[in-house]
Amino acid sequence: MEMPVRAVAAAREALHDPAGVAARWRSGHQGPVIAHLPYDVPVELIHAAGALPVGVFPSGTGGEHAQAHLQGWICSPARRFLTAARQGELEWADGLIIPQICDTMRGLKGLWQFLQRPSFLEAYYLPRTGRESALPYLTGELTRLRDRLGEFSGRTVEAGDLFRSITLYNAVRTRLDLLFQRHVNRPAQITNLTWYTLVRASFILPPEEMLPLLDEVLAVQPEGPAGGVPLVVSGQLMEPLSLAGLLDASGVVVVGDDLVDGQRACQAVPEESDPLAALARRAWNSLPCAAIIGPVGRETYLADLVRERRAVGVIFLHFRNCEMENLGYPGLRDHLERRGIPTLYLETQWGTAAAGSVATRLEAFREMLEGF
Amino acid sequence: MAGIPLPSAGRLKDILAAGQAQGADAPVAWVTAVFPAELIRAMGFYPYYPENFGAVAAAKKVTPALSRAAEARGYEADLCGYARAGLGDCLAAVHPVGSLPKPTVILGANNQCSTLARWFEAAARDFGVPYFLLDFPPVFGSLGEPVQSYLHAQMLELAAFLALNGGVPLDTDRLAGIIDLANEACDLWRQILALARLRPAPFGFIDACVYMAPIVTLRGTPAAVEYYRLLKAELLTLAGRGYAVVPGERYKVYWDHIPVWPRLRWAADLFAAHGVLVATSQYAEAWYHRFDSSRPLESLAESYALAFVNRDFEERLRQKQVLMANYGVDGFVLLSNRSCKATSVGLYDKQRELTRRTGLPGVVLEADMADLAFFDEDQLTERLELFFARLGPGQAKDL
Repeated sequence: MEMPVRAVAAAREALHDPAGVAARWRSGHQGPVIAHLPYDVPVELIHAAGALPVGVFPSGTGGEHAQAHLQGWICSPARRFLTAARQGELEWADGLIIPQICDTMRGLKGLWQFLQRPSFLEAYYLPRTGRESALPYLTGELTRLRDRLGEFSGRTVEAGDLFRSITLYNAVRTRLDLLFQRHVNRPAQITNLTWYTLVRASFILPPEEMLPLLDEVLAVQPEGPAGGVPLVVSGQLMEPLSLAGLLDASGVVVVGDDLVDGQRACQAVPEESDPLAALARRAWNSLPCAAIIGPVGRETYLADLVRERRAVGVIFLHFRNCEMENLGYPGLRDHLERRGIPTLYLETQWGTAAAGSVATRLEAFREMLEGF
Repeated sequence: MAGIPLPSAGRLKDILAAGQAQGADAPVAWVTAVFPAELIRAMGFYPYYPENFGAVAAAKKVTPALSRAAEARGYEADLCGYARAGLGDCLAAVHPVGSLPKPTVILGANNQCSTLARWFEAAARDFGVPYFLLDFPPVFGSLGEPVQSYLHAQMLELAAFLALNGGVPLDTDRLAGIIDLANEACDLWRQILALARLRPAPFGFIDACVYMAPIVTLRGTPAAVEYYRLLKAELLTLAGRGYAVVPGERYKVYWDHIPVWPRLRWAADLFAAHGVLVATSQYAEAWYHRFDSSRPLESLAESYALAFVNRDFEERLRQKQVLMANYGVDGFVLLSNRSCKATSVGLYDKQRELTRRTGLPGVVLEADMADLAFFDEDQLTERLELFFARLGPGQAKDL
């Protein structure tokens, strides 16, 4: 049974109309709207500064406006983000944070500053290692970002503000995680598409609006059968979001992932006495990804995830021209396959995934798994 | 490209071979090119530079062949050509430029690019050896906290890592001595590069590409100092006789970053045929460092953090302008290097902005430093000839 509730429709609407979300929020608040490219930005800091954090998920491919500025072999997310800025799709934002996850995003920050001259543009650098030295650095980086946000919004961020924001976002993250468990057990009721739609909406809607929506979904009586082909998905983002629908159509149930708009968004911040240190610790202990060598290697994380969630395989969902992902891929694949875990590699571009070809490959993968 | 008539021409190979021989008994540390190799040497490791291997493979035009082995394993053909050659060589049955030596440890830094760090991480996994990433946050504006403390802490972690994995204990006096040698070699290197300011010049960027191996791979050794002393003396002698590496030199230009290694001779000949000397490049200048041996670990970390690729858009523009002004160039060439996202993002706008700021003509070339699959000679020749036609008397404006 597809979720019949208003909440899912509201989530979809938010994805299609972030400008409307920003306008509605502005009507009741004084602070700025701060956009962020969706790679593990600490939204709690933005919220605590009295601003609205909004993840940037422009729809469609739309890379043509980037052609004058970026080569065709630069990854499609960077091209799409810049196009969105050049053609005025992000005018709802008062400022932007670009996480420095790779060389392209590092270059994009400077190019964005040069071309767009925004009144607020900040980098956010997550240390690449899981060594001890990374933690104090991360706390310092978060302090810097907090102070910059405070200066821009005109509101000094006190520990109490940040603690309240963490608590609020934790409530969202915890509910998303509960819904994920529901999805795993009742995939016909909460489909892949529904769950990933809700996660993405949590990047756009204010947490105060997101919470009741999630409660509404959670209030629905769990029903429907378990089943489907349980798989883990690894990559950056469930992009395009329609891929989640293709997974549904192929009978795949995502039972675990390491995606930014997936399980990474469910990771709560420890509610400690020093909220900034807690944010740092959450980031430091975050799920491994292509950009960071965390305390636990990504290959170990994925293999353990497959075992814990009783998945039967892994889908790698990688953007074309993403060197960070591609340089890690053969090693990850081999590590998993040596442990008897089949894998499927799907290459995507922002906004498009060649639905027919993906559906065919998913079907072939599924058939292969049935014979495994 | 006849090459500069240097009496010491044969010495370069000898020095590099001697450097390799020195490492025969030492544990091997694979290391990225802009890494504090001074510390590695001080702790008894032989630093080996797989990027050099990538450049040699490119110059010998075997990158596509090595790349095929990497692509067969699942690496994309769009990855950095050095990475494809290095990863491919470890998988290939034949080794057209010799094999990469098996490392004891692999040391990566991301101050040049994240690609190198990921390539080295993948290689460490394949070899089953310990990997250490020296993590350099990008420097926006000036270097400050919390980055400095983070870098210093990592240098201590690096020293501990090296000691744990076959290195000798850190002796700061020994390190200071190596740093002094590195400083001396860097000074000589910069003095040699500066000879390209002469009109006519006995030496230019393309020559620097030929003679840069010691400053990259032997920094901190007496051999590098000795070699560059000799090279400088010989070049000064040639300059005194009015020797011009580009006969009839009419113009000087700036070249941004790495050359197209497999067509270095083609580029040299084409530029020379039009009386154009490629006088300077951030790539050649990047090997200049000034370390403070009284605070060695901190100084190493800070200097390597300021590698130009690790700087912001505006600072990179400023550095290009400074070089253009210092060398009195008449135009500039920017290489949109498919292998190098770190230097290529924003290049089209940099071209427009540099022309706006300096009044000089510029051109963007689409190619790859290593892979001729992305090299269209006719198109590049046409673009360059159009560019040469726009060169006129004039010098870059000072900042």
